[in-house]
Amino acid sequence: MVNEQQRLVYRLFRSLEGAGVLDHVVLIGSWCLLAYKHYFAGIPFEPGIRTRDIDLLVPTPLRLKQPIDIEQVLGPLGFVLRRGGEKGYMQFVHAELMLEFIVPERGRGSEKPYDLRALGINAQPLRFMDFLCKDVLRLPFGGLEVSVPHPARFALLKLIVSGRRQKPVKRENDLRQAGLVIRALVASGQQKTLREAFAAMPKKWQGDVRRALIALPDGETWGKGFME
Amino acid sequence: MFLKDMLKEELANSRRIKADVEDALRKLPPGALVRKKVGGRVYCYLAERKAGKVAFAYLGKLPAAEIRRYEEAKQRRADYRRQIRDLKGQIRYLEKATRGE
Repeated sequence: MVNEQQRLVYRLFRSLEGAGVLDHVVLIGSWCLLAYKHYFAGIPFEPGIRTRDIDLLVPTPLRLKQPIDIEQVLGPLGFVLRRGGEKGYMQFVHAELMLEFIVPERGRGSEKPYDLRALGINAQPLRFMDFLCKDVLRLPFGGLEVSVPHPARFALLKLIVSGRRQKPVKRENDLRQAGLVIRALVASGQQKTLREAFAAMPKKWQGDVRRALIALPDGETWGKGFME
Repeated sequence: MFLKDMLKEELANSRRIKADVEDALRKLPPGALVRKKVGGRVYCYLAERKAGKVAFAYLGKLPAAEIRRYEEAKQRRADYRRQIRDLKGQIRYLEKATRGE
């Protein structure tokens, strides 16, 4: 059953498509799980709890035919612009959702917001995002097609990020989501895809994945399927 | 424990979003546009509640863009009020679920 929150997400994507932005963003974070339901059709896959956070990754450099004012696109949907913290990261909030734009952080990185002038917003640079962008699928989502990272990359990244979380609740949520997706990938015979995604990671990240898997029930057993 | 922590996080989010939406509501241009037809011509007034009474301020003939601006503000005001009502409900529920923490 589609609830109020989901309806708003679908309206959001329809508006982004209408503005010509949808093809330039990748849905990341827990809302991907809803799209993965189609990918894992026929396999028990229940996404479970989703928070209000919805993150859209903008692979850079962004090439738009003409500038688009995101605030103008989101305003009519009831989103309110919030500038968070000292750095002034832009976030669009609504009673049902908190939308943030993310860009891949490259090189030495910077804590400053990344200026996405073509969209009239700034975005938060985050590590590992290029890893997600390298294997993207188009999946049905609320009557549209949206770009999402391949589930194997999504799950592995969740494992890495879980080890860096300050809040236990976030860490546990990451591990739950990673476990759910890995279980579905194994059930659908996709150990090879997991193995390839794991092999594409730098050694340090692989170490982080190994450590995180220990915290998952059956994690070590699954790990044997793709880490060796 | 996991669920309760998540609910606490959501409670904090609801409170912050409510403050943001209330702030946005305050920033909207006040009043509602009223169009009156006098002698076949349409004139605009700004209806505003002042000290419990509705007062009409004459605006005259307005360009279409200005009329659209007032209409958008009206729509947003209704939307923000609905969101604030929903957020109050969320906060009440989450406060109960987390025992008012």
